[in-house]
Amino acid sequence: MKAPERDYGPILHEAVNWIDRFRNGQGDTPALFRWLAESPRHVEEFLVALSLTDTIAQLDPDQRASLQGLVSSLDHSQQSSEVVVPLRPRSFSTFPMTHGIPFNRRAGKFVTGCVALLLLVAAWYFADPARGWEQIATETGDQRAVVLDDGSVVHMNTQSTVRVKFSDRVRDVQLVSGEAMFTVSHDAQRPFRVHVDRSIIRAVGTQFNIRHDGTFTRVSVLEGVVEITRDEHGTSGSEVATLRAGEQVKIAADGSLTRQILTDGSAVGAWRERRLVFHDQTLQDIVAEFNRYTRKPQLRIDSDALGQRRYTGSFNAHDIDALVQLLSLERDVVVERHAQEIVIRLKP
Amino acid sequence: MSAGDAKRRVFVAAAHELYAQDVRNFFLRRLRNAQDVRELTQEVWTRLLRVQRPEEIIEPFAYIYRAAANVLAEFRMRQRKERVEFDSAAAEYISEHPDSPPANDPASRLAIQHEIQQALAVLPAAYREILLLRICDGVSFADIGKRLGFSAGTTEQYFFRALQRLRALRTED
Repeated sequence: MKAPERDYGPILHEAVNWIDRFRNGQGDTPALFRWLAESPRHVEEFLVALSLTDTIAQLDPDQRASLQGLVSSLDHSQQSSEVVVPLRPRSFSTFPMTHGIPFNRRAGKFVTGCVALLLLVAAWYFADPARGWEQIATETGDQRAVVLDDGSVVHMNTQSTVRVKFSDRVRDVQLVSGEAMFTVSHDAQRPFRVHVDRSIIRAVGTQFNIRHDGTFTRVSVLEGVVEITRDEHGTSGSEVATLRAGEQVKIAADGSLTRQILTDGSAVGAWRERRLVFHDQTLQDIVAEFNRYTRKPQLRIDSDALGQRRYTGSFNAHDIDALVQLLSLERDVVVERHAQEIVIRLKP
Repeated sequence: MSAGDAKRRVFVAAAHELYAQDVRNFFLRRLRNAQDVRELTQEVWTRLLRVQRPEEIIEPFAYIYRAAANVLAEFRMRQRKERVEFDSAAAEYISEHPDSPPANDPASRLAIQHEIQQALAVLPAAYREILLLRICDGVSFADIGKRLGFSAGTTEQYFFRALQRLRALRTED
């Protein structure tokens, strides 16, 4: 059924008139509520008009000035600005993650990318602890996408280290620490194996995410199939699990596996967009996740009971303030800001 | 007024702003599902119907924002598997101003302002000028008209047309 063409005009007009009257101090609350009660459409247009006018009213002089710049630049630069620069050093390439960032901001990103690349190449030449392995690492708050020789892409999250060694028969990758999402290009002749702790995750052509945080490893498969085997004394053991798209497994340090169904696939890869997504997770876990992205200030919870409270939300990884704001709405929570840390505690 | 009272007022204002921002984000985001909007406003409407004594409401806009934010929160709880949209505008802003996201200025607000700026930028110049003078500076239609060389009536007409255009952009889904 096709929805009838909507005409916002008259109701929007009335809604704006109501808002105007209140802004001029001539509002009549009971009359406004009577008008709103007439139809849900009135409520919708009122909320839209209020949202629009309040948002415009909040534009500060700087933003109005930049609006003028925007207007004049629109005439010249309507062309698309999607530029991905795959720089290729000897064996892998890296580029900064650019999610639809406008043209004029690319230059800075590009320079950052080049600097990161130089550091990376330097790190690769001078700090290669395991012979034959190329090491790639990200720092706190840093994320990076690396294109491997075979065209597979590794999106590395913050504080992560990956080592790569390709041969004619096999593509070996080690996730030493942190989290990475692998989009593996198909090559039936050369299996792609990721070594984590003492497990091997083997894929042919697929997309999966691995997170290793010292105590356990979590493998989430978004596409295709992967096999997990135990790595005993450097030789791969027998197959212990096969994971399909939409499945997730938690591997404990002793090698025991817990299977889980992936409830929200988009949450697994959300970190690539520097989004932290929590579904009914403890504050303790949420805070630990935020702290992975920001070196200073670090968040600290000063109460076990508080740490066990559960929250659902989606945050920008660098916007600690959003979390702090959310917590400030709790009646019994105080947030103290110090230079080095932000302490969250229960009110005495 | 005691220091405690002052603190409390700042807190209430911040809380109110957060609720209001949530509602604004919902209504102004592009790609918003029209079905969701209808369902949500229907629910807000039934709540407003239950208001017994509207004359006792001191801040009606704050009250309505709050009601809508509550409905929105419950709506999200029901929809648990809400799709996550990447706030590229917010991320951009933060990457450019790493040191200065103002304390009570959530990224979402910046993202919306960024989108509104884009939408304003494509309006005819006269429409944009009228909107800004009226909404940001509170200038009357007659005075705006005088400045731009229109009658007060024409200015008002343009003002509503401009809002309608922005509104139509918002529902492009």
